[in-house]
Amino acid sequence: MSTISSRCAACKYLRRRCPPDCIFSPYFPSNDPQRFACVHRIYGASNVGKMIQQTPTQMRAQVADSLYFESRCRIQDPVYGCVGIISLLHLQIHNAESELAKVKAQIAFLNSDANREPSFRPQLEGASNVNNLWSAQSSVEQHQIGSSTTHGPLAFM
Amino acid sequence: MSSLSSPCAACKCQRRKCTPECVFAPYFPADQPQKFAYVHEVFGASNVAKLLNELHVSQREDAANSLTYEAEVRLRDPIYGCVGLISILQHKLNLLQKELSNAKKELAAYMGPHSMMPATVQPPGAMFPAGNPLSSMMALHNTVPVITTRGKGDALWHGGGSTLVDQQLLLEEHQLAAIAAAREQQDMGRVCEQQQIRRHHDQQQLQSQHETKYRTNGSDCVGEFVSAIQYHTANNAIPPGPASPSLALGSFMNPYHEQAHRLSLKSEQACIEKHQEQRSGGMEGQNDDVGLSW
Repeated sequence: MSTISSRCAACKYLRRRCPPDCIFSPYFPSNDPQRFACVHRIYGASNVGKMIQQTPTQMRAQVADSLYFESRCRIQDPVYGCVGIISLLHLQIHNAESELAKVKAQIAFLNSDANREPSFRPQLEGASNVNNLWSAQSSVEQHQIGSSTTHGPLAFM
Repeated sequence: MSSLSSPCAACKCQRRKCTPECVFAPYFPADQPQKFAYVHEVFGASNVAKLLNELHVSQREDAANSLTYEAEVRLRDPIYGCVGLISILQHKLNLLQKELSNAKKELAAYMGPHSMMPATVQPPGAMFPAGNPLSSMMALHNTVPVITTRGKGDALWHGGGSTLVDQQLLLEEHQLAAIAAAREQQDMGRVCEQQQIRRHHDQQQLQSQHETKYRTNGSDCVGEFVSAIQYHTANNAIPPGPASPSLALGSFMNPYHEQAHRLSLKSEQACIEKHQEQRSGGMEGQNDDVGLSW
């Protein structure tokens, strides 16, 4: 009967017998050989086995999935791997925050303008002059963009 | 020399002789033993060496640093590693996008129909479920998240030296001029075609150079005629109302049409007069007169 049951993808890849208590078999089924091939290429079988072993049983599937995702990222981008994605997200968050600050400033300005009461006017020099406000925002934005683009993908580390 | 120089962190860890050709030595110096310890524990020395050897020398430092970072994060979070960090960042980006969208809607309420456009690209956070981050990661992996939040409306905010209202009027004027220029283009094209046919019959004695030049200009006229027709058709096909995300023109299209019609009549007259003059004076590259005030 043991000859009828198929080996898991890991044991097939490693060309060995697949024991009933194989640590890989629940997470690397035989119908997806590419999955184990990816993690093996980056981490190696023993490191993967060690990491899965050290994790509680109910979390092992997540470990296998995350290792697969990271190894795929590393294969597609051998220099940065998933760190490239992290860096890109950092940049996009930064841009979104800048734009949000800009829009909120515009709302605040329009709000104060709409109220047209001295107490509501912002206590800034030349605050009623739209040009100063826009040029200040533009220069802040340019400074922020400049500082973020002068560094590479690993600048956030 | 190798016995005098201190072995790199990798060779110290593995207790072996550090050769001058050691692939680890430039990126895992002896004074940073922890750096190699991280990658060794997660990836293993042979896998790191294999990864570095596959890369060009100029890329190896970044690769070593990114591997160190990944290993460090994996040791801090043995279950999700970098994937957990990516999901947190995605979630944060998603929240920011929503907040930005709400803020833009609030701004639009102040501005009326001449508001800033919404984000043109769907945020990746839309793929992010509230629960397990890994289910969205596989979909994310195939599409790197890209957010462009700049819209046409940004052009309204970055004009130098004019108020918001003035900039809106400027934008309207530009659009009216574009419509008028498109109508002018159509007429130019028609006139060009007619003149082409006339000249083809009458110009047997003219120099071939002049004829070629004219034909080139004529075909340009025809090309512009076609594109002008397409532009004009597209513009006329836009229904009034703020529905279309690609144009924030919305409900002001109706009075806009009337003004465009008046302008186009004027430009038609001017065009006809111009061409009458040119017909009598000889034709030379009419395209210089055609300019779209985009």
